[in-house]
Amino acid sequence: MLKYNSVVKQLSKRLYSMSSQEQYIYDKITKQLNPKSLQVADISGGCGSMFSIQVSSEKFKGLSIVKQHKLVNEILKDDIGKWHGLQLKTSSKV
Amino acid sequence: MFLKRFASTRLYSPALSSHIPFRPQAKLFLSTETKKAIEGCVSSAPVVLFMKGTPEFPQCGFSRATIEILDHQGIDPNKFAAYNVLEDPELRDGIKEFSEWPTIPQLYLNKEFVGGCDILTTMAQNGDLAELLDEAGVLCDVEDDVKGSE
Repeated sequence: MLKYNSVVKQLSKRLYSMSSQEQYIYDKITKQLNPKSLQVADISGGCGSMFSIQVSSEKFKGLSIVKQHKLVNEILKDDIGKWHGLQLKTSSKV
Repeated sequence: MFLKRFASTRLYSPALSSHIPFRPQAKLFLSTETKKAIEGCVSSAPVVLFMKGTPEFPQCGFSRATIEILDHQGIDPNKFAAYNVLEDPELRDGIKEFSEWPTIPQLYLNKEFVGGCDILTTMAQNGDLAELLDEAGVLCDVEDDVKGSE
């Protein structure tokens, strides 16, 4: 029973909260872009080197999509270098 | 299928694959010769893709997706060149700095950076990509497409 509980706990933790790395990225983007909505997910399947990020912010208004991505890339510059991949979706709609 | 059309494309630049002298210190900025070589790549065809692997054998899901998008759009193979960054570490690092873009694949159209996989996916979905490529005149003739020539 105890084991079952801990499994459920682990599972719900995985489903409803972010890993420390995800949280770290989340905080970094929040600080810089003040986003209206932001989703960060580790999609690496375990190794922690691929992330999916969806962000919408007023700061993107008037910028081309390449410039929007570059803004996020710049914020995460030190991290992206260590990753294998990044899936990024930006939007200026708030 | 149409992927075969890419078989004839140039896969890497002779300029880059030739021996570039080994520099022991960490690269902090793009060397002039690398920059020149990349500029050569970028202007080698109207549509240039920097990718991991080759169009026939992409070695990364994002590169594969990008090739599929371009294939679907019907890029004229004579106006297309793909460079495999895995064959050349200099190119792999250099192109990121050159484009100020941290990831690969990267697509250039008429020497201008268009975007990576995510941007191309979005543009393909909303029709911007078809419009852009059509305006640039880099698509196959429709007639060619039907016959499936080449």
